[in-house]
Amino acid sequence: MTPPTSLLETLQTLRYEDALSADDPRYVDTREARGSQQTLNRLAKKLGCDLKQHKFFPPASSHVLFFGHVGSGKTTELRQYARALADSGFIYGVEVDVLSRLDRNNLQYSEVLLAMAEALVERLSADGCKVPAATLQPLHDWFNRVVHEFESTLNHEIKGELSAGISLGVIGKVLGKITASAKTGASYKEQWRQEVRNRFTTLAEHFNTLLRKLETQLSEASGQRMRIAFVIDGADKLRGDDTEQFFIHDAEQLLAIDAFVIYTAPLHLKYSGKLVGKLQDLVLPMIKLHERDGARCEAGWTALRELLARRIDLALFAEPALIDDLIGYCGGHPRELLRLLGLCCEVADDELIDCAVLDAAVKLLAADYRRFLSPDDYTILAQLDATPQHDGNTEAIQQLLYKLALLEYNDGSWRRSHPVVRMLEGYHRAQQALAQP
Amino acid sequence: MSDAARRFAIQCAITDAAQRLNTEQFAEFKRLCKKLVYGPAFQLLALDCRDERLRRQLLEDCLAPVLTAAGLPAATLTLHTAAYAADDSPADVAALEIQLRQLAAQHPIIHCLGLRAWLDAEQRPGRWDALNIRRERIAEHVSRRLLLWLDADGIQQLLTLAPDWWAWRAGVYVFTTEPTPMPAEGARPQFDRYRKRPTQVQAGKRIAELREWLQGELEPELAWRLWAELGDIYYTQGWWDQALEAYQQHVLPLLKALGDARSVAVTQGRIADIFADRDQLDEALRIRQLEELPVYEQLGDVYSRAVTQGRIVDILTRRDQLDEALRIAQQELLPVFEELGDVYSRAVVQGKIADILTRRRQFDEALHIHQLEELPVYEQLGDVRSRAVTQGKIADILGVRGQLDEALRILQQEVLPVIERLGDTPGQAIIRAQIAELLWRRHSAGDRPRAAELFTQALQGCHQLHLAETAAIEADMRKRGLPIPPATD
Repeated sequence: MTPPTSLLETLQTLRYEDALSADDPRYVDTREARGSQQTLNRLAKKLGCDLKQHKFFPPASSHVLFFGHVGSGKTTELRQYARALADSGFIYGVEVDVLSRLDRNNLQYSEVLLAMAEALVERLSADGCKVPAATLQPLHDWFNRVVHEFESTLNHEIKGELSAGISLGVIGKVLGKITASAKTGASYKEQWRQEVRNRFTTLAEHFNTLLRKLETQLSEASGQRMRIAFVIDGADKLRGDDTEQFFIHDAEQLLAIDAFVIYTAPLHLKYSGKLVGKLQDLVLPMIKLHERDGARCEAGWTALRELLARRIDLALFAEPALIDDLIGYCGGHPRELLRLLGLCCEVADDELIDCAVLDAAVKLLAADYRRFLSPDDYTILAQLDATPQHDGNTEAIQQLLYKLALLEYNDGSWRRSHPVVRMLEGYHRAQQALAQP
Repeated sequence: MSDAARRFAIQCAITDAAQRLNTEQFAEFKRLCKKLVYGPAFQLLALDCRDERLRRQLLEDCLAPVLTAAGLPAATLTLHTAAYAADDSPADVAALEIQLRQLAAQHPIIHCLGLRAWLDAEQRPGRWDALNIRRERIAEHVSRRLLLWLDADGIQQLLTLAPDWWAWRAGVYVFTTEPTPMPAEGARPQFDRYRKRPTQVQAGKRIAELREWLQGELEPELAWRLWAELGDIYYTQGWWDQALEAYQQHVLPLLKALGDARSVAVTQGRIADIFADRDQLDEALRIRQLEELPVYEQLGDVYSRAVTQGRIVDILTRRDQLDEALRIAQQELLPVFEELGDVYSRAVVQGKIADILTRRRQFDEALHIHQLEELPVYEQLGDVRSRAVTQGKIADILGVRGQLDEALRILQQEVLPVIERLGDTPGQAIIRAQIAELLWRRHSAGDRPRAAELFTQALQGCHQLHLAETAAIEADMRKRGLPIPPATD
C-alpha cells in the first residue's frame, strides 16, 4: 500500500477510534515489540489449543478477560488472534461487538447472551451452515413460551416471526428484534431483561445444548474437533459501576455459559482484586521502546517505524532522526503515536515535519495531560519513574494508568510515565523535590 | 472550482482572520481550520474559549469564511445562553442526540454552544455520563465534525466525566485573550514586498503577530518599521486598502515626527505603487514627481532618483505619453546607470525602452533589445524571475507577429514553469491568460477547450488577488463568448 504523500492527506486519513480488521494493510506485527510472542499461545492454551504441536484438548468452558491500555490495540490484536485460532481449524470464532449491537448503558449479561446468540446465528448463516430444526427446537420453544406470556407490540412481531417455522433465519430475526430493542432503550428492553433473568438457567441450558450440537456438526464437517469461541469486544468500554456489575457481580451468570468467551476488559479492573477466580486473565503488553534497565528495545522502534510508514510517507520528515524522536514521545502507545503525528500535520506550516513542528506537537499533547494531573499525580509519577518495578497499586495509580499518564510494560511488571508528561513543569518540580534529602 | 483554487481561497480566508486575532489565537485558529477542512468526517473537537466576544468573533468573522470557502456548511446548536437554557434546548442527552442527528443530515460541521452550562456536573448530574455512554451511537449516527465550545472547567469535566470521549478527542484548541509578549527577534522585520515576500501561510502568522504587538506601547523608531512591514505584507496579499491605511495613517506620521525624510520618500513610493496598481495613474504620478523625486534630489541620492524616474517612465508609458517616456529612459536613466556601472538597472531600463517600442509597434527593435541587451544580463546574474518576465514579453511580440507556435513554446516551456516554481501567484494568472489567448487564436485541435480552461483559471486567480488584469481578462472572455465563472473571493 502507498502511504499518504502529503501532510494534509495524512491528516485526512488518521482516525484514532478505529481498530484494524485482520486483513488491514496498515496492520503491523507488534508481538516482538510488545514482548508478547507468547500471548497468543497463552490465549490458545486457555482454550486447550497447542498451536505449535497442533493439538487440541479443550476444557468444558473458558472465560478469558483480555486486558490492555485504552487505545493500545486490544481489538486489533484480538482480531489477529481470532484469525490465527481459526486457522488452526480447532476454533470457530464469532465476534460480538457489544457497542454496535447493544446499548452499553447499564449493559447486562442477559443482553450479552442474546447478542452472542445473534452473532452466532449470523456467522453460521453467512457461512451457509444448514442447522437441523431439531437442533434449534429448544431455543425456538423457549422464545415461544416467553412471547405468549406477556403482550406487547414487540412480542406480537416476534410471534409472527416464530410462526414462520424453525430455522436459523427465524431465530436470527427474533434475536435481532430483541437486541435492537435493547439498543434503542425501549421499555421492552426491561421486560425482556426481566424475562431472561427469570428464566436464565433454562435459556443458558438451551444455549449450551445448542452450542454442543453445533460444535458436533462443525467438527463432523471439518473432520476434526472444533469448538465455538466468542470474542466480546467493547466490554472494556463499560463505565465504573457497570464494569463491576458485569464482570464481578454477574460473573456467575457469565460463567454459566459453557463456551469459550474472550472479553476485552479495562486494565484497572485487573487491579481491583475483586475478580472471580474462574475468570482467567491475559494482558496485552504495551510496545516497549526501552527495557526496564533503560536499554533500547530495538523491536519496539522497528515496529513503530513500520507503523508510521504505513500512515505517512516518511520522506515528509525533514530528517530521518525526527521519526525516532516522534516515536520516543509516544512511549510505545500506538494511539498516542498517531495523535502526535496528527498534531504534527496540524502544526506544520510547510509540507515537512521538522524539529520545530515536532516540538510544538509534543507541547500540545503535553498540555492535554497538564489539564488533569495534580501535584500529587506528579509526585506519584516521579516516584514510579525512580523505582519502576511494580510495588503495588493504589486508586490514584489505577487512574493514572487509565488516563495513560502512566504506561505499563511486560504484563505490568514495570511502569513508566508517559514521555510527554515528563516534559511538564509539574513533573520536573516533583522530580526535584524527590531528589532533595 | 479547481482543487488548487479552492485551497487558495481557503488559505486567503485563513490569512484574513489574522487581522482579528492575536498571535496565539491565530496559531490555534490555523490548526483548527486545517483539522476541520482536511481532517476526517467524524471528529470530536474540544474548544477552550471562555471569552464570549472572542468566541463570537471566531465563529462569525473567522471560521465562517473559511468554511464557506471549503464548501463545508456549519450548523450551530445553542443549548444554553449566558443566562438561561435556550428555548428549544433538548431535555436530555437522548434528545440532544436526536437534534444532532437532524443537523448532521445537512451539515458536515456542528458547533455546540452553551454545553458547559447544559452539561454542568453540579447542576445536572449524570448528563456527562449519559453523553459518555452514547459515544459510539453518536459517532455512528452523527459522523460529523463536532465542535464542543467549552472553557477550561468544561474540558476538565469532559476528561473526567466523559473519559471515553476524551480518548477519542481529535483535538483541543485553546483561545485565550492573554496578550503574547514580543520576543526580541520580533522587532526585526521578516518580510517586505520585494525581496522577502511571505507565503500566504507566513503572511497570516506575521500579520497576527504584528497587529498584536502594534496594539501595545512601542517606541516610534520600532513602531514605524513594524507598521511598514505590516503594510508590505498586506500589499503582497493584494489587500491594498489595508496597506494604504498602514502607510498613510501610521508609517508616514511616525516618520514625519522622527524627521526621517528618506524613509518618508520611500513610503510615498510604496503608496504610489498601490495607486499605479489600481490604475489611478494621475495620483501615482503626482506622488512620484512631487513627493518622492524632490527628496532624493535634495539628498543628492542619484540612484534612488533614477529608480523613481524609472517608475515615472512606467506611468507615462501606460498613459501613452511615449515620447516623453522614451526621452527620460534614453537620455536621463541610461547614462546614470552606465556611469554607476549598474548593469542590472541598465538592463531594466533597456526593458522599459523595449516596452515603449512595442507600444509603438516597432517590434523588430523591441525584440532586438529584449534578446540582446536584456536577457543576457539576467542570465549572467542568475535572475530567473526577470529572465522569465522578459521571455514573456518576447512571446507577446512573437504572438502579435503571428509566430504563435514559438510564442506558446516559450510561455509553456520556459516561462510558466519558472513562475510556478517561484510561487508567483499573480504571475501565474497573467501567464495563463497569455497562453489562453494564443491558444484561442491558433485554434488547432483541442486548443479552444484548453484556452477556455486557462482563461477561467486566470480570471479566478486575478479575482482572488484583486489584480488590475481582471477586467481585461473578463472582457477577453466575453468577446469570445466564454462563460464568466463566479468570483470566488
